[in-house]
Amino acid sequence: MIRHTADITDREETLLIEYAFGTLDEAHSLLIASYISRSPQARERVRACEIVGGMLMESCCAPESMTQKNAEHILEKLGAVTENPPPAQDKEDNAPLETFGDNDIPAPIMAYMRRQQKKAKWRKLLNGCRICRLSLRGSQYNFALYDIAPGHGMPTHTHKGAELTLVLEGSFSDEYGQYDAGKLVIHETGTTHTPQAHPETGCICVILTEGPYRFSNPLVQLLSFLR
Amino acid sequence: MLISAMGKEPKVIEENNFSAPEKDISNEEMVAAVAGNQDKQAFISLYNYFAPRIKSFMMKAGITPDAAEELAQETMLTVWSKAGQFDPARAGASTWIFTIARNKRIDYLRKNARPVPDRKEIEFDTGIGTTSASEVISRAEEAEILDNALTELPEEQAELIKKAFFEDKTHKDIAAENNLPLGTVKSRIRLGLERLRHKLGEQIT
Repeated sequence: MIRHTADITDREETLLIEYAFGTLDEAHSLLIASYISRSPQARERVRACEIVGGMLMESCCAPESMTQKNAEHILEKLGAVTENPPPAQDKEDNAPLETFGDNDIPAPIMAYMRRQQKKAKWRKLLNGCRICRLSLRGSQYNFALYDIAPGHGMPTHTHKGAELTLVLEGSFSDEYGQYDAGKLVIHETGTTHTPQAHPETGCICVILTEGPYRFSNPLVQLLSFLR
Repeated sequence: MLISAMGKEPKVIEENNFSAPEKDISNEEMVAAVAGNQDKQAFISLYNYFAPRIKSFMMKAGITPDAAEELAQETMLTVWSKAGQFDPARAGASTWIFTIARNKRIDYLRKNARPVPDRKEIEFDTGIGTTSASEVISRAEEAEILDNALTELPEEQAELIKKAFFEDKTHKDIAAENNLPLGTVKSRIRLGLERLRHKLGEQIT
């Protein structure tokens, strides 16, 4: 069942709040991080929640007594930090860009893809559609990049659990609307749809799902098991 | 930093009394001093103020005191090394430091089995009445704003915001645990946050 009412904004708003407060699982976090890297509005809403978070931490967390009472130890650690800046993150930022193709892949996802280089490969899923799966820590969610050629798409299907799609490039449309780059599309559990990429630009997107595909066409469903 | 003798006995002056930073210098200015001059004194002030609160924030999610203290230290070390990236135009120091602490908390909880927070620890705590007198006096104004804003919220909204913030749980988990419809949890939290932002926006310009 799909709801194109305030409930969709509700769902998105909830995700943004949970992201700001740090309670989202890794898969949804990655999706929202990518979303806000594209949407100044969403970023602003997250920022507003973070401001409240800062105030809550400052004013509502009664200071705990520290076992290390003198400052010597922390000053020593400062010395170490200044002389040897942590290399890990800097290295990641400066690493040569693997040609996964696009500058338009959000930085958070790029970081994951670099780390999983050997495993995160583009594979053909269907005619005109290739997929790059990312494996996330302890996650029951499926998280993958999809590259759909102009005019191609996915057969009619549904999922158990919600399907969240972030359009990165181009656009796609289904029975419920057309979605351009930067848009976060949330289809609630049980929504059946037939997504098709734009006939000229195609579509690159990130899709997060909880349950596997259930194709309406039994033959397609059978074939999907053979992959 | 001196503690004025509020009690009858002379107090031992500890090097770190975790009291508030000097009122003349804002947290934002201290971060700038760390960034620009590697000012250790400024850093110590920030550390004394924030580290115990960060530790408290971590413990409210069920993290053990030792691990929480370590995370608080790691957070402040990141503050030291990334002070140059702090942009006061985009956010206040407490917001920035909160996001660093939050991210450390996320990483820690993902690597370790999620602890079940002790229900007693989640009680709303303004920090007033449980800290040293000098701290109460110097932070009274700011804490009061948020305290008032929170107490002015309908009980049900304040309650859920505390849960969403302190307990490491999604809205869905909160709804399930408290036998509330998910929609109710969502709207109460959203409405509450709206009001808080509005109130804080009125006072702070």
